[in-house]
Amino acid sequence: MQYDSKVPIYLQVINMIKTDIINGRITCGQKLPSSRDLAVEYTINPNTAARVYQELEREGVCYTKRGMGTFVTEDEQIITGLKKEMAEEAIDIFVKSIGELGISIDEAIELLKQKEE
Amino acid sequence: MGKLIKYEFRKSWMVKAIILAITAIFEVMFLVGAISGNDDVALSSAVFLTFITICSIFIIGVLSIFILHKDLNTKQSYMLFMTPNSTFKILGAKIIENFGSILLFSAMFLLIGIGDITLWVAKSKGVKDMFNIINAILGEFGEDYQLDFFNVAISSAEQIVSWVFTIMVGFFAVVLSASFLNGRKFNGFISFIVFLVVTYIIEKIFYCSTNMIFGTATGYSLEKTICSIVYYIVLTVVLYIVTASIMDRKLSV
Amino acid sequence: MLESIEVTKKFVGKVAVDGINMQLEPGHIYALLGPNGSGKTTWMKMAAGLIKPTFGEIRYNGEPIGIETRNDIAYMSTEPYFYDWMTVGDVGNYYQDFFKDFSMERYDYMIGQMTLEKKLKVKSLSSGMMAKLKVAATMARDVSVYMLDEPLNGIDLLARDSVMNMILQAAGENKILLISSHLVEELEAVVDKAIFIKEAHFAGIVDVEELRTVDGISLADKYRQVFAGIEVGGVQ
Repeated sequence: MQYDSKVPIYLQVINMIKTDIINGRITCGQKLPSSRDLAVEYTINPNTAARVYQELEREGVCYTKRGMGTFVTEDEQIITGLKKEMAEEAIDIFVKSIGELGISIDEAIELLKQKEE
Repeated sequence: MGKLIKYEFRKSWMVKAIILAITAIFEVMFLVGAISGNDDVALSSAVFLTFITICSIFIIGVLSIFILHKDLNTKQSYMLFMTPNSTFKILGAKIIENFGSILLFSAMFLLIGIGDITLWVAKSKGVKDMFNIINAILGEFGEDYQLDFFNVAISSAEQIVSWVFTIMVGFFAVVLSASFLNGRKFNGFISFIVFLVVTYIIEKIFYCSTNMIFGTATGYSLEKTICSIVYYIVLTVVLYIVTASIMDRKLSV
Repeated sequence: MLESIEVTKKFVGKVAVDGINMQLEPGHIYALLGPNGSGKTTWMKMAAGLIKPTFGEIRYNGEPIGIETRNDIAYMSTEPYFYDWMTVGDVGNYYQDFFKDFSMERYDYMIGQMTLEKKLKVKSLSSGMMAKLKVAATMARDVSVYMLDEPLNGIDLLARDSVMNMILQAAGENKILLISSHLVEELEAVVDKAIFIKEAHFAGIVDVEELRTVDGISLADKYRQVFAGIEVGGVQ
């Protein structure tokens, strides 16, 4: 597992999990691994893994059933919101780097269309 | 403790197996020679067997000092000192294993010797009075010296105990070199000198005290031999306690 | 809690560890960082009870390091230390004979994971295989403190993943893990605390995730800051 060592690891793992939820690799209501197993799976510190779940719960993406483990929310709205939020983040990054090259939004849209063809 | 002894034996069994193999070869040669009446083969085998007896008791002792040296001065020391065993147990296992080996080997050689001599005496009419001849020779040295099984056993015991003590002094010197003298110049040389000095002093004390008690230090007597056995056992135990304490307090591996 | 109180170790002609004060708490994986020769190994060996401090004391849960603490603290040295005559299987048996907490089942599992065979002679192992074997034997013990000295030394990339996996599987709320390595980057995601040892002295302890969150720097960046101006190789 490769991480950007300057960016908090828990944020990077959160983004990976969110991406998996959005693209359906992890489904709604699915049970997630224990934070211990998560640490092994992602090769991260167990405390970081615990923090990942804390944050995801705080955002409503996950919930904990006592004695059962952590599950992905079944609320479609939250997931739709997640998708929108992450898309915005991706666009922000795109706009920023395209701006650094001196390319306007309109030109960028043209380039995107060409790319699609 | 049993497990420690087991691994101590594992470290030295190869040499012991070689000694057994060589002994077996010469013993077979002796038997073939004795039974077929080939005196030359039988006698030369007997000479070799005597030689092997002395050598192997020496080798087993020296080997154990080398093993201790390796166990203290190489990375393999972690194998012993990472385990939750006290230095008393670690050193004790070494002494017991070594003492046991020497005892067993001595007993084996003694039995082989008695067996072979009995066979030889039974087989060859010319040497029937072997014991008598030997006693006659020994009689020149001491009046009381009578070769019988008990006396052989008790003098062997004395030899074994004093040899085990000498090995113990070797252990002490090796531990000294690995603890107090560690990293200092001439540490091996100094510890060897310590070994010689301690052995010399102990011998001297024994010589002087027997001289005082029995009036003479030479010659053989049962009382003197028993005194000597007790003396060396006590000294071995004392030196063991001193050595294990040094290991416990001062040894860094 | 593993406590180092004014711990100093002098060898003939050099001070290897000089007055180190620190405390390690359960529930964390610590990196022990510093150039070669800075005193990391000496400190670990003192905590393992293999070396005796010249001054000061290391305590585990209030008890001075000694024979008893060897039941709670597992130490893995960088150098191979198994007997020459041993096979991979013999190593397992040896640990089984001397450590009540050793699990042969776990050992077998890890040996399998690392594609080591029990009948292989320890003497014939490559440095990478030897490194894996040492980790497997140490991590198959169930203790409260694991100290691994350079566990990633001489291991290829794939083996590093399995070693890290084994380390993480042993981690837990009640456990202290201490890993020394000069491969700082390899430890970035795995450790949560890092201790710096500079020329035999304690040179600080940091929360690794906090470095990234608050200062926006990596552990490797911090390492460069702490050891700026130190000659490569440190004091030998």
